Amino acid sequence: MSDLLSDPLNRSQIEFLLSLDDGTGEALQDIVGEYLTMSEEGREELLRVLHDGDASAVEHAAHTLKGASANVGASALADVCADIERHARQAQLEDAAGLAQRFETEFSRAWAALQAVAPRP
Amino acid sequence: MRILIADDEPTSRLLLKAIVSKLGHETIVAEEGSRAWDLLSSGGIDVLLTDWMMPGIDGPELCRRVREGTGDSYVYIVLTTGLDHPEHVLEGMGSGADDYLIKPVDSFAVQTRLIAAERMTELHGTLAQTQAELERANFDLLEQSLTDDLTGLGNRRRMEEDLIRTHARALRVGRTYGVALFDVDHFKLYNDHYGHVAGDETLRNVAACIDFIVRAGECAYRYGGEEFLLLMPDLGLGDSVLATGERIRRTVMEAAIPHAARPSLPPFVTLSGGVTSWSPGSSLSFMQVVEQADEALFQAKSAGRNRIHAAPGSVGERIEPTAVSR
Repeated sequence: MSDLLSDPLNRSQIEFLLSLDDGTGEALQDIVGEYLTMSEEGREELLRVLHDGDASAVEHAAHTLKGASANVGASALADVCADIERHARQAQLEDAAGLAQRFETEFSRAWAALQAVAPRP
Repeated sequence: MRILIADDEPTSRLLLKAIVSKLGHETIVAEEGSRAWDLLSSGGIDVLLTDWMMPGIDGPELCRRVREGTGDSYVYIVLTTGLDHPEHVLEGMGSGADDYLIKPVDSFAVQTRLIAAERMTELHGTLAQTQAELERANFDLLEQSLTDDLTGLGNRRRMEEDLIRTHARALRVGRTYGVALFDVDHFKLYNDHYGHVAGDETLRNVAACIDFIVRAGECAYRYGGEEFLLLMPDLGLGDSVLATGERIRRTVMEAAIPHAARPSLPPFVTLSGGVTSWSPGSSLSFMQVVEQADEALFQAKSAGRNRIHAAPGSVGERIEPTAVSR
């Protein structure tokens, strides 16, 4: 489990996103903005299928969130998603509640940090 | 380059689009596999950056379809996948991908792939162009080898090939074909009087007259020195080899190419001709058909030149007197 005091964002990825346009920050705004929208739906979906114990649906939902989180530098959340994906692939979802808890913690941290980086209009 | 990004996850699409645009390339995005396939099918895509997992058509299936396609240009395919799925990379490369990228992608990784992609698509473009040029050169050489240099008509080799094909087809489907053989009257005297350069020019002019009369599907050849052969592969009812021969004879005469050295009138270059035809039921070979035309030509010469004779039994052997009037 990650250190709750550590930065939930990989700042070098944020720097990279900032470098993608000529300093306007437009690319960062676009990508993080899109992430904030899609991850909200992704979170609901993941919690629902975790609760249902549907392993293949969990694997798919965690996989998508893992990739998107890594794109915006939310590495701690991406790590948790990778962990959930692995558990689901091996059909080890006995501790679904524990996984959901860890996910929720990192999700909130990543969200707060990303909103600070790219406030939603 | 024109780059297609196929990914069902929106942040990956945006990220790749931003990276590729920054590198100076044109981007098109597809949110799922079947849309990507539609775009690929309409052509003009140099590079495909595709995700592994997509609804509809997935990454490997997309690779297979691109490679099975018969498009003129090469599509360089880069598969994007997670670090934890090395088996995806192997399957993807086996399905036709050229390279892969581990997510999350960074500019450097994309840039290096696009450099390779540019080289590869250029190489394929050059290859396709060279092949097209070779095919054209091959075609031109073949044409050249079947054309008579002096007159531009078919040469003896083309004539033999066409005769064999025409005869075989006439036998198989029961068609009638015609052969006409022409000889320039007193050509030796012409050359002696005007010289060989003028003689060549006259042969070119006579050839042009014959070529002018030839109808679609028919073909004229330089048979030898001052002899020409016309092949009419498809004679219908009412067609007359004699009338065609007459038209050619008159066209040449009316061109009024002076021939002051001939012993008889008119004082122009004229042709003698022998015509014949082959009809279903005949046991003659194509060579015997040509010999028949040659015999008729000999008769035309013996009868005083500047006339056309038909071999007995040929289609349209007799024509209306008006058509033969000189």
